[in-house]
Amino acid sequence: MDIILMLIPAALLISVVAIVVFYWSVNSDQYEDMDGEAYRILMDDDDELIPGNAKRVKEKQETSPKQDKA
Amino acid sequence: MNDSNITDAGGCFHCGLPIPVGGPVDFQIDGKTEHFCCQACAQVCQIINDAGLGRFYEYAPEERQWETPESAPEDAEIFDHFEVQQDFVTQRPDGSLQAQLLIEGIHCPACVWLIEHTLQQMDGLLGAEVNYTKHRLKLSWKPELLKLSDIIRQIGRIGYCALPFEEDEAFRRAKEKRQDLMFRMVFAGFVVANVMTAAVCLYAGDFLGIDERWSSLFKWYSMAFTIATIGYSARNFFTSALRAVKVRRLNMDVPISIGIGVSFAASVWATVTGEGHVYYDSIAMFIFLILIGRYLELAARESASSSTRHLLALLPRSARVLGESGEDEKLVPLRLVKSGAILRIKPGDKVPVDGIVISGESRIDESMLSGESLPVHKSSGSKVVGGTININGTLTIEATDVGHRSVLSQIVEMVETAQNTRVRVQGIADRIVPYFVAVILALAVITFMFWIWQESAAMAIMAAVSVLIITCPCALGLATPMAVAVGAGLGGKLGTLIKTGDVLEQLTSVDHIVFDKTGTLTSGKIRIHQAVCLQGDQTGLFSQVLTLESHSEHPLAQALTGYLSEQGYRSSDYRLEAFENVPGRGIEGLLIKGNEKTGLRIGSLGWLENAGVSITADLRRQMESRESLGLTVIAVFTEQELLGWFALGDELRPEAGSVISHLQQAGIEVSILSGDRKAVVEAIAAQLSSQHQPPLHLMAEVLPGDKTERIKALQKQGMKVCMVGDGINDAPALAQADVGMAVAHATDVSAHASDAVLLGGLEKVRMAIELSTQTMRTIKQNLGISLGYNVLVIPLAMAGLVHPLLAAIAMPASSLLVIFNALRIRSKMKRFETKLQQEI
Repeated sequence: MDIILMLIPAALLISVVAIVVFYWSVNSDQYEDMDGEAYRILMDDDDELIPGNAKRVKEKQETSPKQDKA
Repeated sequence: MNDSNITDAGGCFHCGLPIPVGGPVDFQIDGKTEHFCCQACAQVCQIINDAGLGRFYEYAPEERQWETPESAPEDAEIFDHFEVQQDFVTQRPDGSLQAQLLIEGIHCPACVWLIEHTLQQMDGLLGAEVNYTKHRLKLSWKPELLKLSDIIRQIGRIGYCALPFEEDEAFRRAKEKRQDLMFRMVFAGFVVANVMTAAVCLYAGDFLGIDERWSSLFKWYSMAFTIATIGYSARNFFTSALRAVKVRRLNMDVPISIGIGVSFAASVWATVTGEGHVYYDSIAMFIFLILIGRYLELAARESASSSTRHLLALLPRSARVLGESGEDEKLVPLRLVKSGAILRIKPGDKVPVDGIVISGESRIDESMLSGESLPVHKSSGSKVVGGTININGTLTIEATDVGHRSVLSQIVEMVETAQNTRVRVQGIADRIVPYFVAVILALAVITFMFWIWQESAAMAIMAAVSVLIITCPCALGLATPMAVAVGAGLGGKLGTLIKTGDVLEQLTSVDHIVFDKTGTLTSGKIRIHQAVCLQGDQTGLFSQVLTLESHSEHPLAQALTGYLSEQGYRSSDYRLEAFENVPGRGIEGLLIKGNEKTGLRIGSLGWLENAGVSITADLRRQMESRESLGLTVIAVFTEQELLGWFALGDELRPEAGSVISHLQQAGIEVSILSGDRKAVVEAIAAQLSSQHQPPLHLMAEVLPGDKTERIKALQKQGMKVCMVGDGINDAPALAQADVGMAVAHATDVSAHASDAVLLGGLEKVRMAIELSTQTMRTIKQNLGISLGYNVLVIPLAMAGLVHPLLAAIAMPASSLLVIFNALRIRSKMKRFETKLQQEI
């Protein structure tokens, strides 16, 4: 039963860490947009992150016509 | 877009709207020919594609019905001015600038993706993040590489309108309040988790046996946490209860505080003396649940109010100021314009400030003030009001009232006064609280007396305290907030944005609904009801009318040209000479085709009479009968004779009749309020009431300022009034009414003044009422559940039979029951929505 003297502080420590993380997340405005993030993950815009693709994507952007044409 | 215009080409590639009869605008997109409904959509799509972001169309919903793309505000450069930027731009230590923009035209998550990716391609941009819920863009950029106006322009090119968003004081306070509540809620959760660990050990010990040493440790451990959560998370309950008691009132926080206070005192006593039960777990859970309820309520309310836009957008941000010489025109930020300054207002501009016309002549659309849909003629000496729109001529004005003294600010002030003076009706839960508290205290006293007479003082105290503990106001405290949170959250999804929770409670008792006529019951768009050619060649005459009218910018003329070209008439056959705009009367000109010359006038009946053109009495009666139907009649005539005439007017919304008859069936009286002539309002009422029996109450020829008085008069008769309106002139009345609802395209001021905003047709009024009925019913059921729980457990407590484990299970159980019951509103509303759709 004496193990509890170690387990309680351990549990306490973990929950303190959780609460600190939560304070950080609120203060960095992570709860400001509850709907948008759910969709953001569905947009596959990580092409440039895939090795080998990065160059091609960049080239395409550079060769594309200037945007202020309109 | 008109239904008759649809071809089955499958809709515009960009916005999804049907393609007009004139045929699609075709463009080569990525090697394929795509069809667009208009030039604007095609251009936006091309820019998106050229930027390598064509995947936007894969992400966007397939079945889309967007509006025509927005574009950047014309005076975007004004936001590069240092003085203007002071309001909304902050500088970071590394020299980069940071600002928030409000974006209009976001309809789907793909828009968020598109905006962010487009901006990321700009040099000098450090960060762009779009908040999808609030339609706001957080931006940071390097001022030496990039100008803010370029960013705004770029957003405009891809079809969105970005405007600076100013975080005002109220907004910041609301955010702080929400974050504070969030912290307190999560801290309470953290305490619950820890106290519960100890509680499980203690309960297990109760049944299986536990060392005195350990049980005492767990009790002290729980106590430490409970003190922390009472001190931090529950602090506001106590301060609010204290404030209420000081003014001799009882609110929900009073029984909550008594519950927490008594349970805690009893538990501390038990911990210190080692006798009796501890309730730390119940206290912690109780605080946590109440805070969850409060947070959900706040979040639901906030999401609704943030969707209504800003008032400032109504005024232009810049003014063209003339120098001493009267010539060099400079674009100056509005806040720098002082009274006495000489300003120039070009056609299409918004009038920046209140002022007096010095020179020039023009027509000004003052519909935002007067509700009058026809523009007002202004010439030297006339007063103009900030926020109104200059239609055709250039005016030079001297600014008289700027800032807080302007008419617009005064209207906003009127709205605020009305909002502040309106008596807030107490919620149903708050009305129960005094009885609840009184009964509980009485029962505790009775229990105490009984046991002191029957047994010992110790037993009496134990039983009385357990009565106070077990009578959990938790479910009672959650009954209203949970239902309101679900109801208000649902409102947003169903197209009825509820701004304050008590609207849902009040809407059920509304017995009189007042509809504004123009823009609310009617669509606000002018349509042609009758086109008459009196003699000869109709095609020729109407083509001539089209040629002449296409040179006028008057709204009636625009409606007419739209109608005629839709009917297939072409103006290309005729050449126009000597065009003249006769203010207040109409237009005239010389139409030439080959050797044929016709001098034609198009204008009001008054002009026709003045010009001395004789018409038969029969014809006059015909035209006057159209006027009595609420239509405007325009005559087409030469110097000698009348050639034809048109009857134009505002059209009723298609659903208006059925909505009104349903409301009347539900026992609600319906009024129509309008500034228009009596004959017009009567005509509208006649069209509406042909479908049903009970008469409509009509309030015609009401001056804008008197609308509030009319609502007050109804309220004095003891009626609960709901007002549905749209214009700025409706705003004070919307605020005065017990419930104010603004329709979708309502001006910002009236959306601000109202309690609910209806996105969609008038059937949303029924939706809102149904939602409030369901919410109210759920609140009552919830109160029933929580009182039922108390009726069940109080006898046990009075008998002194309550074990803390029973409290720990029964108290949260009653709260959960209340929460689940509130969630049922969703399925009920879904059923109503399908029913409503079938009816339409």
